Amino acid sequence: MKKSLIPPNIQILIYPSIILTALAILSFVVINFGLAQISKQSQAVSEAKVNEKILAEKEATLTEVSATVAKEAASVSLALPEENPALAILSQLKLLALSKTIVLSNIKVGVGSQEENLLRVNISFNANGQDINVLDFLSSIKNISPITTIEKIKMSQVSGVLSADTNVRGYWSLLPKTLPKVTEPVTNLSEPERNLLEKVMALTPPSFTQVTPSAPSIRDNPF
Amino acid sequence: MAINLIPEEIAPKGPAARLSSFLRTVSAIGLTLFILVVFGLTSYYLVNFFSLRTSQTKQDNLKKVISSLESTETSLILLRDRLSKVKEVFAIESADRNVEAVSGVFAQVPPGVSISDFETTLKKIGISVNAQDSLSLGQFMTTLLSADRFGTVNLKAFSFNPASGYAATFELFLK
Repeated sequence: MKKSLIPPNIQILIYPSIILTALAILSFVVINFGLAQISKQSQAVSEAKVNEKILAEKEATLTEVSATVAKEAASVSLALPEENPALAILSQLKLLALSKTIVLSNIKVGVGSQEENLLRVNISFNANGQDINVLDFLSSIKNISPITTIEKIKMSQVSGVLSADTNVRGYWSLLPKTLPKVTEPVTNLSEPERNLLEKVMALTPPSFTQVTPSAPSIRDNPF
Repeated sequence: MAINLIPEEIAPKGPAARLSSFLRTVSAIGLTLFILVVFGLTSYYLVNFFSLRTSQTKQDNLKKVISSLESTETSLILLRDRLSKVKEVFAIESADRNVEAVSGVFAQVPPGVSISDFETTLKKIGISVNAQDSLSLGQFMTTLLSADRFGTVNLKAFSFNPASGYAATFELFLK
């Protein structure tokens, strides 16, 4: 019988030791890898839950405001347009003057200027009429849309006719250029924003005439 | 029954045999624990995996709904942007309040007093009046002083002409 070089006492320890060492190494590798994967996945799950919540809230908010927001945005855009509102303001002033039976003359529109986010245009005119009517007209300027503020008034009165040399200012502002990412939260208007909106919605909007397109017609032969 | 073919004289004995037996037991327990841990980790991974997939499906559906509401979102963003700018405009100082205050003065001008000139800027109001007599001028001054709107009333100029009466210029500051 061939005799092994390794003593039997050592021989019986080799296999269990190898198995135990292999198990330890395998456990270390598998547990490390597994925990890393699980940690990464848990993070992804929590991020997904947060995104899901944001999207659900966003969807609820948008559904809630969808019926009214377009009209409100249009009203506020008329009050503070994206382009120079001088013409709309002049139209509003003339309509207002007509309703208060006063006469506007020497109307001048200045060059637009920018100050931070807002662009401004100065408009000057002379309002003539009965003192009560002129004052009523001047008091009503703050109620027109586009938003118009009074800068300076110089009045003189001769035999009951008041002449008011008035400087007003109109404002406009460029529109935002980008939409936020779809996963960014959207909230409904806050209470102060809602109050401000009510104030803006109460302004008298400019009256626009919409020209309806005419139907195609047969052109007469000119020859 | 297991048959031990190792001759009695070379069979391991003593501490080596006990250590070997201990190592085998530890290996068996370790292997069982390893299998349990692997099973646990795999189960947890699978639960998370399905949870993630469900959440992503929900997100995709919500994104589709939100995309269909894009015009509403655009309007809401536009509305909020305009409102923030409108707030800036309303914060700008304006002479609107001065006009309202002066309208009140015009409405209460006593007989014998006429307002000849009036000027308002953002900060102050200037009024020039002509009065036939001191009584009517006094009444007008009382009107100005009793008005709640004005914080300060300054008499800037005062003159008397026997032909036309009194002429006075006031500078008014709102409260």
